[in-house]
Amino acid sequence: MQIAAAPAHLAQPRHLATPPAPNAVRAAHHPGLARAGALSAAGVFFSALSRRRKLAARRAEGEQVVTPWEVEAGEDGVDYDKLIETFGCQPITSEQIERIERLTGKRPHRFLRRGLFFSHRDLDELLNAYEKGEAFYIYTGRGPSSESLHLGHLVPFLFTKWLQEAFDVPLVIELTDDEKFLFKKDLTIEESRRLAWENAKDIIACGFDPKKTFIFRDSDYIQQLYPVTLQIQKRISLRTAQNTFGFDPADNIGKVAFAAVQASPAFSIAFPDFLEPGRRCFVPQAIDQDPYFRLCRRVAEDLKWPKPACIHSKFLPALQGHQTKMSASVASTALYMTDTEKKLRKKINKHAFSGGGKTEEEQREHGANLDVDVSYQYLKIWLEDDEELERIGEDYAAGKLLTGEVKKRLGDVVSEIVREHQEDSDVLFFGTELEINESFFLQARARIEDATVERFMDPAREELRSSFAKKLATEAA
Amino acid sequence: MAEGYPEAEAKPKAKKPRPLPPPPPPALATASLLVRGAAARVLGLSPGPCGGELQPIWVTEPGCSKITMSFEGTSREPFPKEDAHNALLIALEAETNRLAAGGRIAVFEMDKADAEKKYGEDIYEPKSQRPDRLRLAHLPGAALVEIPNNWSLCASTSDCGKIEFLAREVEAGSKKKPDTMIMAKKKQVFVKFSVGNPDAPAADIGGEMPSEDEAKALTDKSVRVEVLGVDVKDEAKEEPASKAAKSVTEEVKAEGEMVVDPWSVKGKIDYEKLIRDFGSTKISDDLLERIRKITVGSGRVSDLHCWLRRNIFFSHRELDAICALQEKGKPFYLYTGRGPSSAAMHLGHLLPFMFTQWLQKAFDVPLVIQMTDDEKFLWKGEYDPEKGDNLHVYKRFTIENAKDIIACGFDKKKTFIFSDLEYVGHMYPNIVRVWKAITYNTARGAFGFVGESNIGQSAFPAVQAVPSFPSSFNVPFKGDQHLPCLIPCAIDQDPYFRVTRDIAHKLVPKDHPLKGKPSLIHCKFFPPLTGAEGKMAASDENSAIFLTDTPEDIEKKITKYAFSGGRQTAKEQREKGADLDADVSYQWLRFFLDDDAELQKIEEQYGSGQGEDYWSAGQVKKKLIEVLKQMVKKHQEIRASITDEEVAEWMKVRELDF
Repeated sequence: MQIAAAPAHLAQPRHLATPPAPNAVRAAHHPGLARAGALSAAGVFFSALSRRRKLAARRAEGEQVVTPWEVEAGEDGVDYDKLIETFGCQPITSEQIERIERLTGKRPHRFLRRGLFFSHRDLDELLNAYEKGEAFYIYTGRGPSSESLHLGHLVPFLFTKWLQEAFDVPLVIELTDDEKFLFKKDLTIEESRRLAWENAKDIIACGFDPKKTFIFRDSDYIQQLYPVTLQIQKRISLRTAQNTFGFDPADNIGKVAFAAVQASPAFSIAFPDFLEPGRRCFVPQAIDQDPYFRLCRRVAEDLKWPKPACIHSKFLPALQGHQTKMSASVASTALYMTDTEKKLRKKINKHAFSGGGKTEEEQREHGANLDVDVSYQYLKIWLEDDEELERIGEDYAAGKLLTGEVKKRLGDVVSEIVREHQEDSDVLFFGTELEINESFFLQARARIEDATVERFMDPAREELRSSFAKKLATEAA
Repeated sequence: MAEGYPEAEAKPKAKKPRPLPPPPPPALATASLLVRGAAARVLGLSPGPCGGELQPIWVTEPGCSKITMSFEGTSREPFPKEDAHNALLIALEAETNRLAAGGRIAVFEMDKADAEKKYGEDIYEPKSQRPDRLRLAHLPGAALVEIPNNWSLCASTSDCGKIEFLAREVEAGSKKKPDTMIMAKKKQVFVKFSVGNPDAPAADIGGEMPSEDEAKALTDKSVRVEVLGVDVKDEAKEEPASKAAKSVTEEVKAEGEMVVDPWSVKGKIDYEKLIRDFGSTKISDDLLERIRKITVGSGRVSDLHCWLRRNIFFSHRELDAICALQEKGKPFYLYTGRGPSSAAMHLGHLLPFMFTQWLQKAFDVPLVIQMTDDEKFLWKGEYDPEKGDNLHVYKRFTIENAKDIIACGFDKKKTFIFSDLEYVGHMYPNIVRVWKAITYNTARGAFGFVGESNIGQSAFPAVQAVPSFPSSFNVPFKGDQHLPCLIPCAIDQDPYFRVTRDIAHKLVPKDHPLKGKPSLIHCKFFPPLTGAEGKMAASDENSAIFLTDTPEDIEKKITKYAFSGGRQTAKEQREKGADLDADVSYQWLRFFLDDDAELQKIEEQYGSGQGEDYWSAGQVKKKLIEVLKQMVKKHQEIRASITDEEVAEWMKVRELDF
C-alpha cells in the first residue's frame, strides 16, 4: 500500500488540535473515516479541484491518502505506522508516557495510555526543557461553526485541558473567524465573528481555567499577531503555499495569506501581554494537520524561533463503523454534546456498528471482533477504568458479553462524560443542579455569560500574567 | 480588471454587417483575439493556424461566446497529461486577462500579396477565405491574425472587462462534456468565456503594423508563459525572489517601447495613449472650470494649482462625480500613501503630498495617509542573525517620513496619518473582505506575482485597497459609511486601484454615492534629473534631489546632472533653441515654478534661443537652482521643528474635524 501525502519538505501550517471524530460535514467523502473537528472546525482548507482530482486518482488505486484536506484510508483502515514514516514524525513510546507521569505527578490521560495520541515531534526536547524548569504554552484552536459540538470535538479540548492541568501551563485558543469567512461563500464577517463568540462558550463550557486560558478571535487579535504574521508570510513563497495547500488560482488571495495568520500563535512573541519571548509552544493536533506544522517549523528554523512541538492523534471511527459511508445530513451518526441522555442511548443502540455475532447464539459461540466494534472502540476512548475495559474486552471477545450489554455500558459512560463536564467546571458553574431530562451540556453552557467570554478574551488580564509569574517564581525557588 | 467605463472618444462604428456568419459584439470579438493570443503564449502555438472559430451563443447568452482552437503542432511536446489541463486552462485565463490589461491593439488593412510577403501564411486561420484585401489585427506580443471584414473591435483590449472562463466542470455523473476543456484526442481547446463589459462599444482602430521581425516572433510557437504545476516544479531552478514583482511572462518588448505598470516605467511616455490603454478619462477644460468654481469660488485658494493648470494632473476616474457631490455640498475624503523604504525622501516623493495638501485646502476635506511599513518589510525587509527581522526599521522610517509629509502643511484637525503595523486591527475586517473578493488569478494579472513572491506580497494589495473605503476609518470619520474617496496618484498606480474599483461595491452600503469606487486623479511622471524618460528613482542618488540636500548639493547636482535639451554651442542654441521636452531643468520648472508668466518667458526664450534672461541652459538651470534652494530650505526649516511627539499626535486614532 502506498501512502500519498504532501512531500516532506513542503510542510504546512494549519489547524490544530481538533482530531477527527464521528460525523463530519465532509464525512460523506470519507468512507470509513470521519474527521469532523479538523475539517469542519478549521474549515475546508484549500480544497482545490485539481488537487481533488489527483487524490481521486490515487484513491481509485486503493492508496491511502492523508493530507490536511483529505483522509482516505486504504482498505484496512489508516496505516498509522506508515503515516509516521511518511510524515517523518516519531511514535510515542511507553518511556515517554512514563516520563510524563514522572514529571507531572499525574496519571497519563487515557488518550495517551491507549494510544489515541500516538505520534509527536520534539516531545523529548519539550520535556527536557520542562524538566529544567523551562515552561511552555499550549496552542489549539477552532474554526467557528454553527454545528453543535459532538463528542469527537471534545477530544482535543479534553486532552488540552488535561495537558494544561498536568503541566500547569498557559493555553491559547484561536478562533479563526477570518478563515471561516474566507472559505465559506455566503458567510459575512459579522456572522463569523458571532459564531466564534458562541463557540467560545462551547469551549469555556469544557471547563478551562480562566486564569490560565486566553481565547481570541483573529479579527480581534490581529493587531498583536500582525508583526509575527508578516515575518512568517515573508518566508513562505506562493509556490510553496501552492504545493503545500494545493490552492487553485481561482481561489481568493486570503486563503493563502491566512496560513501565516494561523501559524502566528505558535510563537510566544504573539502574546507579549503574558508570555515571555522564546517560550516553547506545544500543539496537540490530529495527525492530518502535521504537514501544516512542518511548514510552520521550517519557518521557525529560518527565524531561529523555538520550533513548536507537536503531539498527534489518530482519527475516530464513525458511529456506524470503519467501513460505513456516512452522511453528514444524518444527525444520528454523531453523539452530540447537546443530546439528552435518552437520545444518546438511543443513537448508540440503533446505529453503533457491532462487531458481535448476528444472533445471540453466534455471539456466544464466536465472540465479537473488537477491532471493528464501534461500541468497544468508543469505550476505549471514553471509559477511564483500565481494568473494566480489559474485562469488557475479554468477555466480549469471548462471547460472554452481548452487544446490547456493551452498548448499555457505553451509554452510561457517554452520559457520564457529558455530565462530568459540568461538574468539572466548578469555577464557572458552582456545581449547580441540572435537569435530568435536558441536555447537561446545554444547561451548563446557558450559564456562561458574555462577561465570562469577555474575561477569557482579554489578553491584558492581570490574572494571566500573575498566575505564570507565580509559577516561574516557585520553580526558581 | 478593466473599467467598464463609457469612453467619451469611443464612438460606435457604422460597419455594414454581412449576412453570414454574424459578427460577434465588439467586446467578444476583442476577447476572442485575446484568448487566441494567450493560447499561443501558454500552449506554444502560432495564433493564426490554431484558429478561433466562435460559436454565436451570445444570441442566447449575452456576453458569452465559445471559441474552438486547435493545438496541432504545439511546441509543448509531449503535451501535458490530463491532470495538468486544469492548470493550463487556469494559466490561459490568467494570461488572457493579463493581455487584456495591456490595452493595446492595432487593426490595419493590407493587400493579400503584401501581407503574405511580409508576414507569411501564419496570419491565416485554417478556414480563411483569403480575400484579396486583408484585415489584420495585432495584439503586441501575442498575435497577428487576419480578422473577418465585418468584425469590429473595442478601442482598447481592456474595454471588454474581465474575461472569465465558464463551465469548466460538469456535475458529477453527467455525461455532458465541460464547455471549457482541452481535448487531447482531437488536439482541440474549447473555451467558453464571458466578458465583464459585453456592451463595450466598437471603435475605429488604427495603429501601426508590426515589423517583420516582430511578427515572426509571434509565430515561433515558443511557450512564453510558465504554468504553475506544469512547468514550474523545482523551486531551485526558479528566478531569484528579487525579481518577484515582475511579470512571469517573457518580456517581448522592443527597445524604447513604452512600458507603464506599477513596477516599472520605461521608454518615452505617450500620455494620451496611456489614457486610452488604461481606460481613464482626460481632465477636460470643462472639468477644470468646475473645479475652479468649487475651490477658487469658495475663496479657500486663489487659483487652481499650477499642476492642474499645466496638465501635470491630466487624467481621472469619476472626478466629475466628486465635483457633482461637492456642488451639492456633500463631502468626500482624500487618501494617499507612502511606502517608507528609507528615511531619505526625494522631491519626487513629495509631489503627491504637495498636491494633496492643495486639494485638502481647496476642498476643505479630511485626509488619510497610509504608511505601508508592512509592504516595505515584505519586499525589502532584512534579517539579522543577532537582531532578527528588521521590522522596527520600517517603523522608524514611517516616523521620519511622516515628518516630511507633515511639513507639507496639512490641516492637522482633518488629517490622519497611520502606519499599517499600528492600524491593521481597525482595517482587518475590510482586508479579509477584499481578500475574499480577489482571486489569485486577478492578483497575478494585475500585480504580476510569481511563484517566488511571498504570500504576504500577494495578500498586500488588499491592505492598500481598504483605505479607499470609509468603514476602514470608523473613528476618524465618526461612522460615516457613505463618504466617497478621492485618490491622487501617479498614473502607474492606476492598475492597483482598478482592481479596488472592481470589487468596491462589496464593501460599502448599497446607497454609497459612488458605489464605493474610489475616484482617482492621475499625474504624469516626474522626470529624473538625468533625463526626461521614465520616472525618478531613489536608487540612483544622482538622479534625485533629496529633501536633506544642502544648497551646495542642489547646485552641484543640477549643474552637473540635469539633462539639458540645450544645444552644444551658444551659436547653435541661439539659432535653434532648446529641446524643451527633453530638458529636465525646464520640465522641473514646470513643476516648481508657480509663476505662469515667468514660466512662459522661459519657454519662449529657451525654446527659441532668443531674448536675454533665459535663452541659455545655464540661465535656466540657475533659475531652477534658485527655486529649489528656496523650496528645500523652507521644507527643512519646517521639518526641523516637528518632533516625534508631534508625529504621534497626527497618528493618533481620533475623530477628525469635518
